Amino acid sequence: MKDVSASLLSIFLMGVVLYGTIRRTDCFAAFSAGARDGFTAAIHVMPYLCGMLIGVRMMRASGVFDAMASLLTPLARAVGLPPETLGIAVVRPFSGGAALAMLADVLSTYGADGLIGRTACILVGCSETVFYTASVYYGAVGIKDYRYTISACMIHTLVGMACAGFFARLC
Amino acid sequence: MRQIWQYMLMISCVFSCYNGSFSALPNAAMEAAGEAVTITLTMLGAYMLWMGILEIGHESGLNGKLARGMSKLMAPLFPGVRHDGPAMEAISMNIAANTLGMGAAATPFGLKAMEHMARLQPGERASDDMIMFLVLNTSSLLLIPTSVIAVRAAAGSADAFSVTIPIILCSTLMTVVGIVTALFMRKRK
Repeated sequence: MKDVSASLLSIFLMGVVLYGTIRRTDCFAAFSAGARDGFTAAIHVMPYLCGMLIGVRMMRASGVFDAMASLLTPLARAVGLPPETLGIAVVRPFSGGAALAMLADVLSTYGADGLIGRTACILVGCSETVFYTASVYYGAVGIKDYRYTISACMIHTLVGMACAGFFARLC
Repeated sequence: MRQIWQYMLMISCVFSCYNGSFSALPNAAMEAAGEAVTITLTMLGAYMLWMGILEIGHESGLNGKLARGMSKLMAPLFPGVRHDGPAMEAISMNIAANTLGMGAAATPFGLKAMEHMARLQPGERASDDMIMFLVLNTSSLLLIPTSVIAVRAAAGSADAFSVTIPIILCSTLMTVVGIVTALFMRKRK
């Protein structure tokens, strides 16, 4: 499974460059332009990540996480998630920055390649900031009545989260 | 939601008084701040790599091709939108950008799509098409989980890519569940 994942990305990489070459695109110029955007994006994220990571680490140091984990362990076991990743699942629908900071915290505490680390990655990778996205997109065009938006979005989010533990065991 | 950060800090302070770990907090905060820099710097490399590759796809027209293919697939889900109109184009560009893990590039297309859909049904109520768009957008069918790969690389993973296939499988499942749920709820009302 590991090799398949990595091969898929190298096929993608080769395919994009090959297509660019066939279409006579200046690949290196395009790459540099994109890399500049990526650079700005990552630098732009740094202050948010810094603030959120401070919050997360203070919570961990104060023992809130341990208390939360022991409280929520039965629930986590019921859906097949390691209790250590439950905080990510709770935060993810509200804030992408906080979820990323919590992911970084979980990966450096428990390692990136164990079951806990992989589950945490799948949790963050699959789900989206449902509440944030809805408020940005609906707010932009003045929608006040969301109707069944939140319930529909939360159903697939919860299904995905419940399956994250299963998919983590695959890889 | 904006106040969550304040509460995180206040809860930690209150809890650590009770726990006797009050003096450990400034240390934890300093460590976290330093680590944020290391993580971002390592993430920088991964971001530049994937955003650079995706820009080649954009320049060569590959991303546009993907969006057109997706728009054919998605058209039946949006009965209120003209299939060759600008709303459908914005919708598919947004979903295509999301699929490729370019969240920042996706948002402008998403806002454009919402504007077009709002013109089709003025008022303060979300239309069925808007809800379907939000469902597809948040179930985030994902081909390249750029930021997760970057954080894994920053954490020193031996194999940063290993989660790609499980993420693709999981997000595909979510997209299917999301579409079925939205169609069901649309019929029921």
